[in-house]
Amino acid sequence: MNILDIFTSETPIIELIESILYIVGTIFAGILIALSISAYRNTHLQKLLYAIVAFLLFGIFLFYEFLEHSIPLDNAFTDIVIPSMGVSILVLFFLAIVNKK
Amino acid sequence: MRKSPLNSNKERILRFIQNNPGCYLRQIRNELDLSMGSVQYHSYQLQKVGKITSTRQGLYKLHFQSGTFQDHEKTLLQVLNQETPREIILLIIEQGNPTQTDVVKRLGISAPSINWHVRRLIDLNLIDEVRDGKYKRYKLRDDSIDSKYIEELLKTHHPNLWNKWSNRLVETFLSLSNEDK
Repeated sequence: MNILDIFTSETPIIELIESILYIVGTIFAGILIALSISAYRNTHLQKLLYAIVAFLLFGIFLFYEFLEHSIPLDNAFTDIVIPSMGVSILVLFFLAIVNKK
Repeated sequence: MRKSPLNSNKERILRFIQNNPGCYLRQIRNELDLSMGSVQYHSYQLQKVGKITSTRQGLYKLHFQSGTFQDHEKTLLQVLNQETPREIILLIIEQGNPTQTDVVKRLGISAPSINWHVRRLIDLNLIDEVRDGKYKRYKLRDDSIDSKYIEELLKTHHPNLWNKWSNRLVETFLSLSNEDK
């Protein structure tokens, strides 16, 4: 197996790296949630509430991807929910930017 | 009569809180080299008998000697633990009546972000905004905030890494949204 094969086929190494990246992403999302909550408690800036929900959705999204990777969860419902989470995250950030409060 | 180590620790903690108003438990533990359990126990006992009070700020519980600190001073201490408001107050002490441009230049962050922090300090009754021709100038609200007293507080109160990061998150959002109230 050459180096290209490792990155183009589903090998245990690739799967392991994928799982690690999902876990690291989930942990970072958790840190960002805690940071946003702390910032909100200090300042009561309302747009931070959008950020808290967005980071929370992002954390759930990554954790779900990790679970899906480990156990089969694929169904029609999640096929709609997961992409809509991505859209919701972008909408929330957009609202945080445009909201005047 | 010799004091028991238990009472002596309690007194050390009380003295530390008197000398370092607004200190938090981990700070007491580190400075006095006591166990966290001991610090928690004695601070609880001191609060129970009314010798100290505490107020929560984010993840930290700040401790004060009872009767010494009024709400106004507690607010001041909470502000001093946040990077940008602290630097704004420091600049006002240093320059007297800086303009909005002076503050923006010195702190190196966006004008909307500065505006938001200044508005907050005004709402907290810590500073005043004065019109000087086409400029806006800032000054400490009244003589009750003594600059020497603030300097004393600043020696022991500085933002920790977590507070700095959360402050920067706020600034990022304020800069992105170009909030200018």
